[in-house]
Amino acid sequence: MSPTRHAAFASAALGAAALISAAPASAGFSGEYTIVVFSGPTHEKTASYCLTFTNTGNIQDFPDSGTWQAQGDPYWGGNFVVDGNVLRWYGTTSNATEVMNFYNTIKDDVPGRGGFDDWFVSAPPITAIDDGTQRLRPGCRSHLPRHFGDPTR
Amino acid sequence: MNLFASAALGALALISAAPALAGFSGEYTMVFYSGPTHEKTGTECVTFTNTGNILGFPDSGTWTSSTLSGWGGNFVVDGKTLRWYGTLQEATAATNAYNKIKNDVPGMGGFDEWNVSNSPITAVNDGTQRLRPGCRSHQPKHFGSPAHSPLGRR
Repeated sequence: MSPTRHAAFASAALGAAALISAAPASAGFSGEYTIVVFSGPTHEKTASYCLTFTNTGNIQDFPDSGTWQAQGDPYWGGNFVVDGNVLRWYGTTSNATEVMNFYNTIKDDVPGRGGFDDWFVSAPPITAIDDGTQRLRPGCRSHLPRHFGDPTR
Repeated sequence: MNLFASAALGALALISAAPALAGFSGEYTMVFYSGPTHEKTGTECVTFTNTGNILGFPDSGTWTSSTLSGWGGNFVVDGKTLRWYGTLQEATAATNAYNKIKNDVPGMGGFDEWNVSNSPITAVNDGTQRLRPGCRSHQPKHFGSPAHSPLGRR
């Protein structure tokens, strides 16, 4: 554990009551993450983007759920749900002509690797744009990530 | 040397006899478990057709439903995961799903169904699902090698 994390943990332990009372209504998954995209069957690294997840807790009764948005692109965003140990998220871009869907397996309250598909919206047959794997890395450049799940973890 | 030549000839014969597409295909019943409590809410019959031509994925293709008209899309087998996605209701709604593959059989996974629009979008249904080989009296086709087919495991 880094000194910063250790200090944060100690502070949280000392001020547990205050933290509980100050906790937001939705304390699940949220914050800034960098998605790193690995495309095609060979999983070549092809791109990375900064995303912000906002917990609203109101997606189809999933208590840990909300919306996500790409930084710098107000038209790229959608919903997410934390369903057991899986984060699923999906949405549109390009004026809703293009769909992206993702999932990440959660381990130790951190979203790890997963898959994604990017495709044009039409009646079947549809046209694929990109398929592959991806991972979510906490934070974007100099930004510090927000918590995933219990802040003490 | 003779052994090598024989092996080479045998290999050529095997290549010529091999099916062009030996990946995931066939009829499956998708069983839905909706919401955070995963209540069983429905089943649909889905037919996967292997085309091997989705963005360089050798094990990939299209799928359609015989029980829900106009519902279909693409699938890719990416390592140990089957991902499939598409549209319904004249492309006003989208479905995305994935299933973990174990012993060449697609097991449990997740799904989301939602109305397509600019962000913010509207969720319709989210939860887990599983693919059960076959639809009623229909026999399933194979997943992966015929030696590992779900039919063979019954």
